[in-house]
Amino acid sequence: MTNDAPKELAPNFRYPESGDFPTGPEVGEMLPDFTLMDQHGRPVNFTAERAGQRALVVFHRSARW
Amino acid sequence: MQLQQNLPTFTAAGIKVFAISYDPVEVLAKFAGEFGITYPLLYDQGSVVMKRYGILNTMIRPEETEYYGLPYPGTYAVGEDGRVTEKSFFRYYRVRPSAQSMLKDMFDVDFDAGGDPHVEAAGEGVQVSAVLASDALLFMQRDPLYVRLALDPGLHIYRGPVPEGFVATEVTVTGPDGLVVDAPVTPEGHPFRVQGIPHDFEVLDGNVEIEVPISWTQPDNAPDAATHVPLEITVRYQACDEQQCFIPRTVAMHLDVPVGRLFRAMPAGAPPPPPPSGDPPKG
Repeated sequence: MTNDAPKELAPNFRYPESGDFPTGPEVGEMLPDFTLMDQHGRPVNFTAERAGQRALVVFHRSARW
Repeated sequence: MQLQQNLPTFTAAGIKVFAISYDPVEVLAKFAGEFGITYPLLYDQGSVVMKRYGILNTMIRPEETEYYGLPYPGTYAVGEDGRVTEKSFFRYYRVRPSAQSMLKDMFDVDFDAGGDPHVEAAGEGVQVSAVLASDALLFMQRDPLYVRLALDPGLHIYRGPVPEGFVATEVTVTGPDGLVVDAPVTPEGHPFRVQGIPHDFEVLDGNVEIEVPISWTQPDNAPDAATHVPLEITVRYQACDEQQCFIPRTVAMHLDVPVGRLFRAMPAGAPPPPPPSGDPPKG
């Protein structure tokens, strides 16, 4: 063994330490509606755009990094 | 990008795709232009929707302006009636399901893999994938298999050789008889530093691409010639940041690679192929 190996388990400031964090609307609940600007600067309303179809809504981190 | 590749499958299944982040419109426009994104990339100004949903990452403090406003990364599947039918959230930004697995798991839709053979696996802070730089192996053709490790910012892995106590990043590829695997080529790293002092071994960070040259040496004109070559790809690494290391991980991936045909069956009545030039027949 070596004493050089990193061993200090400092909490990571950016991630939750367990799987215990909020995940928003539950299965079976209505997904709250929203209207947001898209990449073309056009407002997109979720309900209108979906027009009765199924949807995949992805919350992701920045596209910049 | 991966969603875009699979967008036709989502569209065919009657599923609309929406992506939401805190990036302003101009950033989204640039990103969409670079990667050819056609589904809506939406700007959640002030992270209003994330806050309303209760998924703003509150572990990031407002003074960390670069990162404040991020959501816990996750995905909702919504039914025709607007209700959430499935959801999937992950602790780490890089740990995310592939578009194909979302189709399968959240909508029960089978996918068209399409494109070059590739496979991916998620780990804590590290996304591991492998892609063949060709759509098929060919008899006696050497093709690079790229094994990629995408590390979250602040994380690094070790480039061998390393002293005892550290885990070098290792890629092994195995397959049936006839598969020849050459030594993996790992990019240059930079010196590992402890409190500013460089050590005599290296670390890798960011997007690490390890090239594994592979060739298929079974002639493809035998009646029982393989049409696919199953590759077993194993990646071992240990990801660390400045303070801590995660548990060393071994990621096993399976990739079925098609074998292309050099020699095609001649239709009846066609002229015989020209005699091979080169070496005379052996006695």
